[in-house]
Amino acid sequence: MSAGRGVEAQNEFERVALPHSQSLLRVARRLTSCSSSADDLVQETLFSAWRGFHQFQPGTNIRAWLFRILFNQFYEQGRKSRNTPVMVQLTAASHVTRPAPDRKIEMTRALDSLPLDHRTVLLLTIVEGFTAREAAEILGVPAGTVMSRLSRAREAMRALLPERNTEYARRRTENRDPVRAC
Amino acid sequence: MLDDELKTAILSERADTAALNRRVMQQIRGDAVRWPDRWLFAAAGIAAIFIAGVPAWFALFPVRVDGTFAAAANDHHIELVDLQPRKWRTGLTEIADLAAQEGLSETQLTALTPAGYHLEQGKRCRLGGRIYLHLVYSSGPARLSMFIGLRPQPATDRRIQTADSGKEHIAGFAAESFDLLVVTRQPGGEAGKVARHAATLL
Repeated sequence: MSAGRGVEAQNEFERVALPHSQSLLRVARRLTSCSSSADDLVQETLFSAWRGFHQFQPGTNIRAWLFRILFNQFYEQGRKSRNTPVMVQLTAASHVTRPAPDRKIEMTRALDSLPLDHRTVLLLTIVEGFTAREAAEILGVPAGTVMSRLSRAREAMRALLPERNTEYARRRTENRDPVRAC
Repeated sequence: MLDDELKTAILSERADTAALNRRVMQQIRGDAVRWPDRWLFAAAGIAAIFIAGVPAWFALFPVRVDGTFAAAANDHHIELVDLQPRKWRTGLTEIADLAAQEGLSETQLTALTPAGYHLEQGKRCRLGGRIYLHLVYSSGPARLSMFIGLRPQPATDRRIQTADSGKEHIAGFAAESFDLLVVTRQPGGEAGKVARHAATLL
C-alpha cells in the first residue's frame, strides 16, 4: 500500500505515474482527435489515478492501470455528453490523400480513419507494446476479442494504404522478372 | 513491416508533456492542501446530520444496508470504479476452477450469465469474514459484480432484498446452498433483475 496523501505520496506519484503521461497523451490524441481534449483527458486520468493512488499496490502494472483509467474516463465522457464514440467505417479512397506526402502522415491518417475499436487495439498492442491479455484487461473485453480486432485492424490498415501496396507489388513483380534477375 | 511503420509513425510524434505534468501536480497539490478544510467541513456536516438528521432518518427508514451488502458495494467500487489492481482470472476454465471451489458447477456458472452480458473476470474475495466468488460481467462499458458464497445452512427466507450504497445498487438473496449478491451502477432495477434471474438457477 502506498503512503498517504502527503508530500511523500505526491513525490512517489510524480515518480511512478507521470513518466507515463507521454504514452497516455499519445493514445488520448488518437482517441479524441483533438489536442486540447486529449490534454484534458490525460489530466483527468492522472488526477483520478492520484485519487486512487493510496490504494495502489506497488509492484503491480501501473502503466496498465493508468491506461484502464484513461479508457474509463474516455467512455465516461462519451456517456456524459451523449456522444459515445461512433464507429464509422471509412473507405480508403475518401481519406488517403494521393500522392501521400510522407509515409508517416499516411500511416497516421490511415490509423485515424479506422473505427475506434480497431484504432484502440493497434495503439495499445503495436504502439504501446501491451500484450493482448493486458490490452484486454485495459479495455474490459476478452483477449480473443482483442486478437480478432487486431487482425481486422491490420487488414483495414493495409486496405487504407494502397500506394505502398502498389509500390510493394511493383517491386515484387520487378524482382521476379527473369531478365532483371539475370 | 506494417506494425513497425505504424509504431515509428506514432512514436515520432513527440508531445511536450511538461506543461501537462505541471498542471497535474498543481492540481494534486491543490487537492492535498484543501483536504484539511474538506475534513473540517465534512466533520461539521456529519455532526450536524447526527444531531438533527439521524433520529428522523431512522424513524422514516428503519431498514439499513446490511453489512455484507455494504461490503460488496465497497468491493465493487474499489475494484471496478476506482480500478485498484487485483489478480483477476479471465479465462472461463480458470474461473470455473474457482467456482468449483465454491461448490458451483460450470453449468451453473454459465447459466448465471445475465442476458446481454459476458463473463469478464473472476476471483475469490472475503466479505464479512466469509469467502465469496466475485464474478464480473460486462455489457459494453457497463459492468456488474456478482458475489456468490456457500451458505453454512439452507436459508429460510429466499426473498430478494435490494439496497443502495452511494451510486451502487445492490440486490441479494439467500438460496438453498448459496448467498448471492449483485452490485451495479446501472439504474432501472438492473441489480434486482439479475438477482431474480439468478434466483431461478440456485
